Amino acid sequence: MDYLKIAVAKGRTEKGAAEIFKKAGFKGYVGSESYRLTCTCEEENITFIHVKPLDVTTYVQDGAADLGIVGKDMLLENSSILYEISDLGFGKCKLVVAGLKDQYPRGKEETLKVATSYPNITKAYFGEKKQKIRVVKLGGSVELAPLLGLSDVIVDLVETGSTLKANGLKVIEEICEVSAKLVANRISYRFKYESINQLVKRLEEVCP
Amino acid sequence: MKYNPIYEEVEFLGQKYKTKRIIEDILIKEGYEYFEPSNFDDIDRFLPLTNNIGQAPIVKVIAGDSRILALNPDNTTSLISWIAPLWQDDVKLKLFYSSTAFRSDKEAGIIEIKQIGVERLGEKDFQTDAEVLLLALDILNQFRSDFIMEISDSKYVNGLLEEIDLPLSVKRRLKGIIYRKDKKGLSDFIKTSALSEPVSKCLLNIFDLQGDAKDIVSKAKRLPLNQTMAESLQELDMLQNLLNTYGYLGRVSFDLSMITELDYYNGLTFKGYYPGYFKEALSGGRYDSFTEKYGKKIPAVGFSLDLDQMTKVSLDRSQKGCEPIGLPENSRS
Repeated sequence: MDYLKIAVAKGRTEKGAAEIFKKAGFKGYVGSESYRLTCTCEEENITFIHVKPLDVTTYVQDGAADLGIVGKDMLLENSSILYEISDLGFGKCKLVVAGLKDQYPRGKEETLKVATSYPNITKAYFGEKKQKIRVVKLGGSVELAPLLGLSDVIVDLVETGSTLKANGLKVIEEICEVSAKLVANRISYRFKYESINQLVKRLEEVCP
Repeated sequence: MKYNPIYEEVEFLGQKYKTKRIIEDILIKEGYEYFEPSNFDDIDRFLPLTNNIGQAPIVKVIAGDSRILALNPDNTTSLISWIAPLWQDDVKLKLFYSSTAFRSDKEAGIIEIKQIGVERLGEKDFQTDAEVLLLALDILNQFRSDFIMEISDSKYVNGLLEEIDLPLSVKRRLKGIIYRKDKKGLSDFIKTSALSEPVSKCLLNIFDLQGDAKDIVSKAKRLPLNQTMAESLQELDMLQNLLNTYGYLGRVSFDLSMITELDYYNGLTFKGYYPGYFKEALSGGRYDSFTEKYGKKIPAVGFSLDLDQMTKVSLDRSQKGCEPIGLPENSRS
């Protein structure tokens, strides 16, 4: 077995990943509960590193990690050159456009103000629809923006819809479905093809 | 801030020069002649380059008379746009260049890509493809023997796409999915696109067609095929035999789902990697149909090497105390 380094997105993805690795019988993976940023499973020849979701693609693309586990939203936002070798089936949610009403508050000719943490996805989506927009980039709590008049609508991830509901927002359009993906560096994938395939097989057997 | 001592910087530059010389010497010995791409040109010349998968945009320069020029984004394009209007049908050319291409990048500003490349023009046969591929393998092998050469024939995927009656934009999206090796994306695409059963079957299997050359060809032959796809497999089969003869079979990996960033190949394609360097060291293939965009279909096959990576490989090698690199003993031609 080749030695594999896997970058896992901290937070929600990481919990799902820890669960799935445990189910697949990988011993020793505990997630990032301690302060250490790396965790090595000697028996399996794997080192996990824990990084911010936005950074996973950077680590994998530059080969600092062979593989990565990260939400599809981050892959779309960063448009990196990676192989998306497996859909891990957890962390399912949707990227949506939402606002105070269930329709766009402005006509097509007017510039729409969109608050989001996903400026690239947002520009690409509205660009295809030929809708003029101005992006308001926020780091979080995007739902606040329409309430305070900072934006007309938002583009954000929705899992159950309860945050939207609690803030009086409604879904206007669905952009795409999102779930956790196993991504690979293209060159690691070629050199460690057998080991990576074996890992994928073991994980896919227990994927939800 | 502390910098490297000056002699280390000079050592790197010296190694770069040596690396370049070694590769150029191999090419000259094989009968290739020098070509010099121009540094900038009318931006219109490079329009066929845009719309490619995963390509960084062109760097623009404003000339004194306000015309917009492109800083050479691709040496092959520069060569073909120059040579196509002059082309005569009975000509056979073996050219090489050693030049810099430029791309614009959000983070880095401008990326400089130092390349050495080889182009064979005017010959369209298996023999020529094989010679170019063997030359690429010989050069990689000269610097380090544990590389991998990924090989495919773009006629396989393109032949499969011929069977699908969908708009070009949708086909391009499908190519993007195959490029990313996105199994889930592919099965979703198949579910929503009403494809015929043989095509769906072939698509669903495409990611299994990677690995050992002999296995892959026989596996692929068991799937439904059209003429174009069968042709690609026949050529890959011949190639596999040849690579076996020259002892390179262990260093190559066939990947029929391979799609190149510059989607301009219409036959053999290949990419070479060294372990621990996370970029292509070399990439190339046959690109006759690309030359058509410049007014004349010229049989063309070639590859380019990333000079910075080759320098790093040879520097790491000399630091490990390996023997210096020399010219290969026997020329094949």
